[in-house]
Order: sequence, then C-alpha cells, then structure tokens
Amino acid sequence: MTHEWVKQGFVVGFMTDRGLVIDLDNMTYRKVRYLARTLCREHKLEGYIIVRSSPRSYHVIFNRYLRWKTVTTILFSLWEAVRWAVFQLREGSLTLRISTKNGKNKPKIVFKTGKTNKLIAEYMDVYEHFKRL
Amino acid sequence: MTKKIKVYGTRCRGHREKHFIKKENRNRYFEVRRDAKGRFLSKRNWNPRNPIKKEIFTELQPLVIGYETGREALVKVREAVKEWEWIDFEAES
Repeated sequence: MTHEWVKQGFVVGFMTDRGLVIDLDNMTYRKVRYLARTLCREHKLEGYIIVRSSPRSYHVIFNRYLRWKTVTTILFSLWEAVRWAVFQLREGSLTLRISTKNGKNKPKIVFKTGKTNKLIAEYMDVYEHFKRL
Repeated sequence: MTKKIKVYGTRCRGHREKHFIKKENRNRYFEVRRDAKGRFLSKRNWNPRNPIKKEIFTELQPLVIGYETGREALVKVREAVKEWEWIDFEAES
C-alpha cells in the first residue's frame, strides 16, 4: 500500500481544530482574496494570511480562535471548500501542508492582513522553523 | 492546550541494508531490515532489478506529534522521521 498523495518521502502538515483554515485549489489569486475578505468580514475573523502552495492552489489561515461547531458551519457554507472540508472533518481536524511535497515547493506567504496574534501566530511559528527541514 | 503536527507518507519501520553474497558461482542478494537502534528485524531475498514492493511492510497512518513551540516541533519531527524509512514511489499517473 502506498500513501494516496505522498509519493516521495514525507510531508509535514500544520494541524488545528481551534480555528479556520481553508485549502482552495484550482482558483485564481483574485478569487481567493475575495473569498478570504468576505469570510473575514462576515464572521469577524480579525485577520488572515494567504499562502500559495502551488500555482492556482492557495491556503487561507484566519486569525480568530473558533469553536469546532463554528468551524464546520463556516466550511460548509463555502461550496468551493466543501470537498476538502469533508475529508478533513472526517479526521476531526484541519490540516495544511507546510513542507515540500512530491517535488513541489514549500508554501509561500503572499498576503497578510489584520491581526496575527492567535492562530496565525501559531502557524507562523511552525512555518518559520520548518523552512530549514 | 497541546498543539499538533502531522507527518504523512509511506513508511516502514527501521531501515534496510542490502547484502551481496557470492556463493558457489551463484550471486545472491539479501535485504536485511533493522530498527532505529540497529536490532535485527527480518531478512529476505532481494533482486536489485526489482523495485521495493508496494504491498509489504508499509504503514500509512499519519504520525501526530504534539508540541508547544515551533523549535520543539522541529526537533520532535526530526526525531520521529529518523525512526522510519520513508519510501519513494513514482507517480502512477
């Protein structure tokens, strides 16, 4: 048996169940930024960062800590993220890649706005240290 | 609250050593598996022309590692990763 999507070595993932992170694949940067801004405004998420994992694939991390119920509600309100959400919620947490994968580069931060003292600080702490791995 | 990090991949316990033995005009290859501390796990015949078989020895469940700070996470992940052999496979598509 081989891993479903890791074909070379290993992949490190940032894992959380305390806040909202989203993986948006096959999407333009403008659309990702629009979705992030809308969610941030509607749910008062305090701030967000956009990370490019590969061309046309982006991760969004929001700052505010949320209850798990709220996280699931927000995720399922966004049809672009539903497919990813279903697989993540089965595991009971949300995971984003922070290392290389199958020859792809590490994720790169492309946009940052608002407060960055809660979940974003957690993510950045790990992200900065795993640059060298 | 403990923060967590996940490590994904196809892995098997320990590491592999390839042994070549020439005996009575017959070349034989063995693959010996040992754990992180160098203790013997298993031995089997091996043909260098064939790649590692996909269906044996592998574990797929992600490793979940708890941490408090980023530096601690990096150290723990490095330690955990060393205990396993991470297997590469070519993309099937």
